Amino acid sequence: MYKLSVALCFLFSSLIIALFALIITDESFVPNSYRAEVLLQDLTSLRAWIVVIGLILFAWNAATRRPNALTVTSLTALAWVMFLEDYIVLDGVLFIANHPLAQAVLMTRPIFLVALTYVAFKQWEVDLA
Amino acid sequence: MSESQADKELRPSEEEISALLSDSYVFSFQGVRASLNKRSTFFKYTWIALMTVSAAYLMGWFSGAIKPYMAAGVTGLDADYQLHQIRFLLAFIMLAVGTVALNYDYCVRETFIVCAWVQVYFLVTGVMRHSRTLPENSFDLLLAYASCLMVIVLLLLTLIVEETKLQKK
Repeated sequence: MYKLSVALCFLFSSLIIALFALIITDESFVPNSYRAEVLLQDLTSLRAWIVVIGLILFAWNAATRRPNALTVTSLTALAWVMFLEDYIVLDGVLFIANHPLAQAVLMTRPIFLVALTYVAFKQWEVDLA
Repeated sequence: MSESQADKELRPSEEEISALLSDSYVFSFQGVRASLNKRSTFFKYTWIALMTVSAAYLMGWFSGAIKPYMAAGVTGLDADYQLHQIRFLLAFIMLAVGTVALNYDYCVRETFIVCAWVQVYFLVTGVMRHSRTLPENSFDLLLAYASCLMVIVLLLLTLIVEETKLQKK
């Protein structure tokens, strides 16, 4: 279950990175307004970097057999904060995702959040063992 | 073996009795004051400073004094206002979680580390957003906004450092 959850987190992260790469290269993503475009660019680029940094930190700690629980817990808190910001506040501001990749990100996000939260709890158990 | 001898052997020693009577829970409620008294004076004053900043922010928010310094006050966007509201709520949830951690003296360092990361996220995204949307010649607004969040991050970092020192002792 733990390995499956980690795999799900990696899958979602790769989707986010692919989506970000698509947004900056493809001009088919049209936001609702110029202001929304600015907001979209700021948030997406920043979040993509958080995902990249989080992945590197997790992989580095796992490879060097260092405790990973605190890193995963911090990333989980950030993931939930971003989720709250998106669904409570920014849902109407950002573009409606028509691209299959954007749809995949939206659909897998709740699964990713549950998987990440599970990994965070399990990681404390793994670190303390 | 006589009955009295068997009784003596079965009776727990003084150390065992005191170990059984001592606090064996993983965490227990003891109050913030008791928890603060266990820590350094610097930690205590930093915590008080954090509480004062929070109270000042609340007063500024409800009196409307900080509204001109908020992103929504300048851009007039609903999204900015709502974003501020949700972050305002999240900040107070973090404060409540921190207080609970102190109350139970449980995972204090870890709690403040997570809070500090979330606060850094607020700082970076907030400053980025301000720098992109604020009109020109409003550097003072950006500075006021960033310094307010920076103070909170620094206070949290101080708490983490002090708690790490305590744990190493």
